[in-house]
Amino acid sequence: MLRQNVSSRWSFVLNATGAISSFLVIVIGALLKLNPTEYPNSPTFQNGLLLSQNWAWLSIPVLAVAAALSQTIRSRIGSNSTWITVNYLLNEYRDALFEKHPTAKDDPEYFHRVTLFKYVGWRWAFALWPWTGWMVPVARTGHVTQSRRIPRFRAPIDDPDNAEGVAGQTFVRRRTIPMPQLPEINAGSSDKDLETYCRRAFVPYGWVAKRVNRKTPRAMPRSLLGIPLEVGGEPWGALVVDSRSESEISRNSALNTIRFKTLMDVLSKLLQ
Amino acid sequence: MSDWIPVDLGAEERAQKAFIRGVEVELFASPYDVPEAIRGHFDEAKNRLIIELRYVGSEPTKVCVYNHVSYTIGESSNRLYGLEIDVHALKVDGIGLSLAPLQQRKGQELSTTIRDQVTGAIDFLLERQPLDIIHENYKLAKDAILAKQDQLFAVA
Repeated sequence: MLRQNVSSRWSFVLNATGAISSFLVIVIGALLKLNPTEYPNSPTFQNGLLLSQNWAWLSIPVLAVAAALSQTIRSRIGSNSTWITVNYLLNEYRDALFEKHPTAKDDPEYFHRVTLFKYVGWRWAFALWPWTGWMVPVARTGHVTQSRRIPRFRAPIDDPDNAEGVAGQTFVRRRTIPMPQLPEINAGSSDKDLETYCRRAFVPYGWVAKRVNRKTPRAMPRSLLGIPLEVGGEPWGALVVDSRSESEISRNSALNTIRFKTLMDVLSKLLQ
Repeated sequence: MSDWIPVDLGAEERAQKAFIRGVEVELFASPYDVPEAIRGHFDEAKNRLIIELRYVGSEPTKVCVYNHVSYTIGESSNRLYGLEIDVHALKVDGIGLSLAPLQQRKGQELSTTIRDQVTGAIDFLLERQPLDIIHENYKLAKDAILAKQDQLFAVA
């Protein structure tokens, strides 16, 4: 699932957990100072006080851990407002990038997308090993194709030659990589076309074959552009522009538009 | 402090051929490696020529000194952010004159000499740095200086 979606769904819960836990720690700590025998006229309060004090040895550490954990998770996934800003910037950038594209004006928005991939050293997944060294999607333009089915790509830093996808290769090489005019791939495509596609897009044959031969086949992009992304001078991830049009995505538009510089500057600040 | 001079090297059009997993591809410089602006001035008090480069991103920097030249280098990326050349120590014109009289007397010649010293300083970095990725940035920094030499070294 995209980081922007996780953040929008969970930030309220995590904020509330952190705030309530912290508040309860303070209250329970303060109640320890009270003497239950001083409240004989309020048996309910007295019982509550006794219960709170008897279990304080457990409740205070548990609540403190819950507060710390919710804060840690929140900082790891980023605040909702950060991701809203990132998404807004990506959409603006996509519009600037494709405004002069020959077909983009007539195409649906999701035919031409920008996806922000982040490099993670470890990825929790219901999948076979390897779990180390992945490019995971964290934000994408538009309001559709945002599901958890956005592919992840291998980017092992101890084996960079085998980085997969334009995202993986862009990250390990720290270079801008354009890959236009990929063959059209569908369930009826020849093995040769499939093989050509896989070689040029740096993706495994089995993965592409599975995507196009499923009950609801996934459309494969015909043109890609990977742009390395840094935060504070360190490689952070990659922006991948994909299009269903085979026309080359203009590097000049991609890198020289003022929105690109704004995007890079703001991303660097937001993602630190 | 002089104003930033925008630089457009057209670096996004300069391809480098490479083979990735057996496929020939064209690689282009990272946008973070391409200087977007440059500026230079003489610090007359220190008798130093100072050149600064600006990029899309920013990062903490460190200063390394080799052969009377202070290089401002990105801590993480090793990108070149600036140069400070000790004009006096370089003995421009062979006699180590201060800049002011030279400016008056032989500006064009001095411009050329200083330009050569500056590009030579970057060549020195290129020789020292074996990593291809940083080579690209140093080459682009040198190209930026050469492209804007008229404005940078307009001392006459």
